[in-house]
Amino acid sequence: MQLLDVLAAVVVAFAAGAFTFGAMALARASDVEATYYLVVGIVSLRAGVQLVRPGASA
Amino acid sequence: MSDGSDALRDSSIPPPPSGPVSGRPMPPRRRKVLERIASIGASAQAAIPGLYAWAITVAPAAWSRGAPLLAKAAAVVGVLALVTAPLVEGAGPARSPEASASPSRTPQNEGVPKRRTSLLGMMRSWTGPTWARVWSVWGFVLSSAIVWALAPAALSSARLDGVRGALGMVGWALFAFASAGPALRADPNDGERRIIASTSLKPRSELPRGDGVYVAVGVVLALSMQAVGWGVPVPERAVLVRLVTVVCGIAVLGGTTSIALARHGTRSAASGRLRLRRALPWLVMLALFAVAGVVLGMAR
Repeated sequence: MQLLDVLAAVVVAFAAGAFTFGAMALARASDVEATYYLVVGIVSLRAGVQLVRPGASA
Repeated sequence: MSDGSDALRDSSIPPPPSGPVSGRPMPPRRRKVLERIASIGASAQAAIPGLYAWAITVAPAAWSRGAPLLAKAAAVVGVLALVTAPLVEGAGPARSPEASASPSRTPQNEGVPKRRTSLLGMMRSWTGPTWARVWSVWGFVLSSAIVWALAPAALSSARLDGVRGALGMVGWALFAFASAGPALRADPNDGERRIIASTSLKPRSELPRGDGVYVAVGVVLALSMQAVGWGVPVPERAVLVRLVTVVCGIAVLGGTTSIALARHGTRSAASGRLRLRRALPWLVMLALFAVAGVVLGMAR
C-alpha cells in the first residue's frame, strides 16, 4: 500500500466526519454551518477518489 | 380459498427438496430442528410469527387506554385462531373426500363449469390443512382488523413507536409468508436429490484480501451517520436530515469501494505523481475551505 492510498483513506474518513457534522448542524437548523460541512465533505470525498483513480490519462 | 397452493400441503404429494443445493450436507442438529418444526404442521409454523405480530401490533391496541371490551375479545379470538389452527389441521381429512372417492374425472363432470359448483360442495372438498389455513388466516386477520377499527388511536404515529411498528411489519410479513407457502419439511433423501453432485461449488474468482475491510469501514461510517438527527421535532427537517444522511452514507460507501477496487484494477496503474496532480485541485480546495472555516470560526 502506497502513501497516497493511506492519504486517500484518511481523506475519505475526513469526508465522513464532515458529513456527520453537516447532518448534526442540519438537525440543529444551522443551515449555513451544515452547507459548509457538506461542501467540505463532498470536496474531501472527491479528493480521496481522485487520489486512487487508476489509468494513465490526466 | 382452495387454490393450487393447498395441494402442496397434502401429504400425498412429496414436498419440494429442501436444504442447500450446493451439495454441502445439512448439519444433523439443524436437520433435527427442521424435522421437529415440520412435524407440527404448516399452520403451527405460521402461528409463531403470527403470535409475534399479535403481541406487537394487536395486543397493545386492544389493551390500550379507552379500548372497548369488544376489542379485547376480538384480540383473544385472534390468538385462539392461531393456537387452535394446528388442532384443526390434525383433525380434518388429509385428502379431499371427492378426490379419494372419485380419483379419475368422468366425462359427465368434466363439462360442468366451475362456477356452478356450490360453496357447500367446495367446502366439503376442503382438507384439514385448508380448514386450518382458513381459520388461521381469516380468523387472525379479521380479529386484528376489528381491534384496530375499535381502537384506531393506538395506531397513530404519536403513540406507536417506530421500531415497534417496523418489527410488527416484519412479523406480519413472516406470518403471510408462512401461511402462503407449503409446510417446511426436511427431506430424508436430500443427499440423493442433489442438483449438483459435487461436494461444493467453486467461485470463478476469489475476492482479493482486504476488500472486505474497506467495505466494512464504509458500511460502519455510513451507518454511524444514520444515528444523527432522530430527535428533530419538526417533521420536514427530520425528513431532510434523513435524506441527507442517507445520500452522504451512500457517497462514503462509494468512496471506500472505489479505493478498494483501485487496488487491483484491470486498468494500468497511474504513477504517484499523476495521481497527486489529478487530486491537487480538490486538495487545494479542501485546504481553502478548511482555512476559511477556521478563520470564520475564530472571527465569531
